[in-house]
Amino acid sequence: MLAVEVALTGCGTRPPAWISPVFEEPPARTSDAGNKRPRRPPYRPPAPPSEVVSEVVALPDWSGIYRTLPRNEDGQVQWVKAVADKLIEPKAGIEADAKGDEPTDLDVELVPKGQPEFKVVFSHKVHTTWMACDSCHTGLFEMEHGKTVITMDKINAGASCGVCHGKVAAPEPAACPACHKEMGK
Amino acid sequence: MIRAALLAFVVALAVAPGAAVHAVEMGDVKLARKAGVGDASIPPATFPHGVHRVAFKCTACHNSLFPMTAGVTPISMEMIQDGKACGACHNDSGKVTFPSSVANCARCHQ
Repeated sequence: MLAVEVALTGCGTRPPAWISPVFEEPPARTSDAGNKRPRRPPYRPPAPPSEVVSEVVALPDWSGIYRTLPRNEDGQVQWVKAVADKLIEPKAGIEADAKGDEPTDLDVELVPKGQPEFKVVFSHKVHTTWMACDSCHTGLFEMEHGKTVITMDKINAGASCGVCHGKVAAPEPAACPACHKEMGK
Repeated sequence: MIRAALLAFVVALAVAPGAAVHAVEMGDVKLARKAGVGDASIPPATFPHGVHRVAFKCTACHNSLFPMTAGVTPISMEMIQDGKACGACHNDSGKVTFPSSVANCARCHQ
C-alpha cells in the first residue's frame, strides 16, 4: 500500500492527507517577539550602599562678587551704593539668622565756624548700616552735638573720622564732596 | 606671530582685573608676625577687609572677635584651629566659608 502510494505521488513536498498527523506543520507564529525576549533581565551591578552625606551648602563666591562691585573715580569700592543697589546684603553676625539693629535715620550738620562752605552732613543712616552706636559712641564721638571737636588735621592723622576713613573706608561717592556737600555744587 | 600672541595673552592674564584676588586694596591688613614665632618660610597672612565686607557688616567681627585697632589681637594657627579668631568662621564646618585647612594656606598666606 505504501509502495503504491509512493509510486503514485512520488516524493512531493506535500504529504498525503492520510499521513498528515505525522507531518503536521507547526502553527504559524503570530509574532517574533517571543524569540527576542531575553530569558532573564540583563545583569545590573548592585547599587553601592547608601552613604550618609552631610548637607553641603554652596557658598557664594565672595571674592568674585567683590570684584564686580562699583568703584568711584579713585578706584575705591562704593559700599553705600552696593548696599543701596542690593548688590550685597551684608549680615550683622556670622550666624545664619543674624539680625542687627535697624539703621538710624538722622543727618547731623557739622558747620565749621565761619566756614559754612565746608559744612559736613554726617549721615547716621549710612554709618549705622554697617556699624552699631557703640562703634563710635562715646569712645570716638560724644553724643552731644558740637561737643567733640573735629578737624581735618585730626582726620588726616588717623584720629576722629580718620580712624576708619582713609584706612578701611573711602569717602563716598568720592573725595571732599562726599562729606563736604557744598564743595560738590 | 604665535609667540607675540602668547605673550600678549600671558600679559593680559597678569594684569586682568581679578587676576590677583587680593590685590592691595584699602582696608587690607597685612598681619605682622612676631620675630621668632611661627614658620618664617610661610608669608604672613593678609586680611582682605573688602572681601569680608561683601558678606558681613563691621559689627559681625568688631568688637566681639577683633577690636578695631589693627595689630592688637594675637592670632595664631592654634587659635584658629580651636575655633577662635579667624577660626570662628574659617573652620571645618564649612557652613560660613572655606576651612583653614592645608589646601587653603595660600588664600591667606600670600
